[in-house]
Amino acid sequence: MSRDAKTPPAGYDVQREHMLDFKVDQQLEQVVETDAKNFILTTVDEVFNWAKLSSIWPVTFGLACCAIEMMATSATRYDIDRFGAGAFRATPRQADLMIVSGTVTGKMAQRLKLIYDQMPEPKWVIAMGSCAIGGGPYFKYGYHVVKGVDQIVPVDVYVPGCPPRPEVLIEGLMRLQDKIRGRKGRFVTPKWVTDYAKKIPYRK
Amino acid sequence: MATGDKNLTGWADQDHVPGIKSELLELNMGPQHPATHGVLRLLLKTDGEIVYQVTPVIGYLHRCAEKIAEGVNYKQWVVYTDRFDYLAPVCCNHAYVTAVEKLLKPEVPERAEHLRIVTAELSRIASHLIALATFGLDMGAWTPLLYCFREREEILNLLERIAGGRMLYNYFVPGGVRYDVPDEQWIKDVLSFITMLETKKIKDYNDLLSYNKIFIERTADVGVIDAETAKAYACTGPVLRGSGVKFDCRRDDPYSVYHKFDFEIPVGMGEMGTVGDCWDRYMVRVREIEQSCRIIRQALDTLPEGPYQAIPLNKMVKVPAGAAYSRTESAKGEIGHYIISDGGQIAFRNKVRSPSFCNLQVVEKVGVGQMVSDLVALVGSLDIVLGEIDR
Amino acid sequence: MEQKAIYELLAAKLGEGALAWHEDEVEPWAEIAPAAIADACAFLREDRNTDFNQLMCLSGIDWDGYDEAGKGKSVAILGYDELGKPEVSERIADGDLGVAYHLYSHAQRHKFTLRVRVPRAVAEVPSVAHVWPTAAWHEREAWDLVGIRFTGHPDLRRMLLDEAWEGHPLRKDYMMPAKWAGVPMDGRPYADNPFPTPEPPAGGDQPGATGPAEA
Ligand code: SF4
Repeated sequence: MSRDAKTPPAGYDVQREHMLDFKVDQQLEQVVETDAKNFILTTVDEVFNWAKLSSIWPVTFGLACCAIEMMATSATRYDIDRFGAGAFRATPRQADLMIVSGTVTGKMAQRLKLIYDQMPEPKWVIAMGSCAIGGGPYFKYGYHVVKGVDQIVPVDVYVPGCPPRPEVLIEGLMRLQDKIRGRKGRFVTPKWVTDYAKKIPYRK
Repeated sequence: MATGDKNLTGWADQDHVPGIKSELLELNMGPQHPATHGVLRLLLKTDGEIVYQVTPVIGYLHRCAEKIAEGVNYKQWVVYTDRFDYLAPVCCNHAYVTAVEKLLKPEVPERAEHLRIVTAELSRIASHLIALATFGLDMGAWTPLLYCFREREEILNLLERIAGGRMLYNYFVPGGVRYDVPDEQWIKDVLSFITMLETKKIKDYNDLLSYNKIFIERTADVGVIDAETAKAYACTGPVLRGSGVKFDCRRDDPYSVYHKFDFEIPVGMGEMGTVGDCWDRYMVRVREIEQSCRIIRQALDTLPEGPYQAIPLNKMVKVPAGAAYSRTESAKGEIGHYIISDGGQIAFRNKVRSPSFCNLQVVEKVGVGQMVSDLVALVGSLDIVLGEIDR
Repeated sequence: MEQKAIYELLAAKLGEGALAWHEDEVEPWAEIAPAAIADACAFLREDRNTDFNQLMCLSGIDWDGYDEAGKGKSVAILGYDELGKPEVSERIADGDLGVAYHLYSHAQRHKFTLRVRVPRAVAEVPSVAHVWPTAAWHEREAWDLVGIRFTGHPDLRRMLLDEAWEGHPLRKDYMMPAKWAGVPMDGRPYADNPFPTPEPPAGGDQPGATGPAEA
């Protein structure tokens, strides 16, 4: 196994992926270009969606261990602000994304629902960590643990891991942006990644 | 300024303004609040800005870990100890494995003990960095957070290289540690990192935060916990030492091989105000980072060769019947595990005495008579972590 | 001070109340009659020779189903099964409840362990919250999770769980709740709630993504 197995193969069309992401931006450029002729080549929806996805404001809602990784994502090195989601709001009324980062317990579930209800539309939820997805390590004997936050509020993106690395949370945010953009795409792991993963010798 | 000594008992019965009936204001802080470090809820009764009564309400993160201990085996439960104090997970592992080893009595190899201490102290530094960062954040200073997280990321990288996880490691097993040092380079990297921390970074924090005029005004003479109160409420760790009591499990009740190393125990001296104020507790943490660096350097310099596990990883442990209580010094204070074994693979009862749980209780007493904004300073300086309080 | 000597001091003070001294254990401990525990603690706190000014830990224990032979055959606890349904059992628990106190003295640097045992039907132990203020929260926790009532406690409410919670979860016969105050607590098998699994596109996911050349 050589090192260059990590680099994408020659045929992997990075350029094309890139262009898809910026389809909307291109259209906006057209708007500017054609502005003098009073001629708009986009839909209002797309402009609105572009605006929404470019400045997602999450609510400061740390629950457990995953919250520390959420903080790390917003701090030095990872800096989630690069993706427009760095303005953590302490009040739900100014936020439009709830990152449920940690274990949801019975006592907290009612508060969580309340905070979700206080957020203005449109709003999205990311379930971060295996606890928020399905109880995680507390499934079998967790008498006070809700087995998945999707039993309480609707979830848009699931970010697995215990805790998920900051890179994974950023990936989840980008999938959410895809969703807001209305793109029908789904994330399929490229074949070269799965092939590579098979070759990793796990420590016994 | 704090009015800690003002006696407020019976306030509500007094006739303050003749002819006008007044009542205490009830204020609810949390559980979703930016300054309570997680899902802590404080029920306040205030007279204007002055706090008349504080009642912490906890349990919003009660994850049933003690019940789980009665259902999973001894090795599996190390995973859950990680999740108590998720800022310094290795320290919590340490308390648990020492308790199991008291009953099991394996010959823990010397190399494993050294590796345990190195990782635990790195973890302690990481936790103290977060404590400084979030305390600064509570006091309205955003910039130190960015600095502290930068160094914390370095520590996480180092620990990831030895233990395999980024934040929660599951690194200790009864009878040793899970992995050996990956290579010689790792040792060099740790040494160069702590040298950098000692020589440059701590000075950065001091310049940015510790001796900042605004910060001192906000923390000195605020939330004073005197030594008697701290002892009566069984406060431990930086909270106890901040009150001027020179007590540290690593030196006074040594476990592992801490007796071999030479380090000092910083205590609060009331440089900026009274002994036991928020600034003292904060400064104890900064000084403990330096001492941790010293311990790491000594432990790595004398790292012995040899095995690092007494029990093979794939072997189940059966713990002889009996009960043992062991306590170690984690980043937040003294963490104790009380294990009752019935001779099988699963613990019969596992009680955790968590430091934050006892440290938080002092708020009920000390918080009375403070301004609401000073209460934030007090709770921030206790450096609680809710995973450990609620378990 | 030697632990044995502390026990002898205590036994001389309590008389009948000190039941036994268990010497040959990993950590020796003294068994105290429940009615005498508050006196014992107050004595150990006040006496100049013992001077136990810190209560390190107070643990509530449910001794039901404990394997006295030390073979690891204690009764297994109940959880949720793999589909997320609570497990049920018909067994009637009848074992004792107990409390363990771990003491430490800053001045003398010695430790001591006390234990009491009460029958399940009358699970009442005198509170020691007036001796060490820190005991107040520990006792509230023991009441909450194990269901031991501490008489004379200033404010015996539940600590971690909600006041309306039913049962004491650390008892060995506790059955997991399926629902609490409208919040679903049971797990939900994925089979009951199928998410459509996306079909992988034919011919790989990306044009040209055929994996790296073998190294
Ligand atoms: S998923 Fe893991 S890291 Fe995240 S909150 Fe749950 S236990 Fe903690």
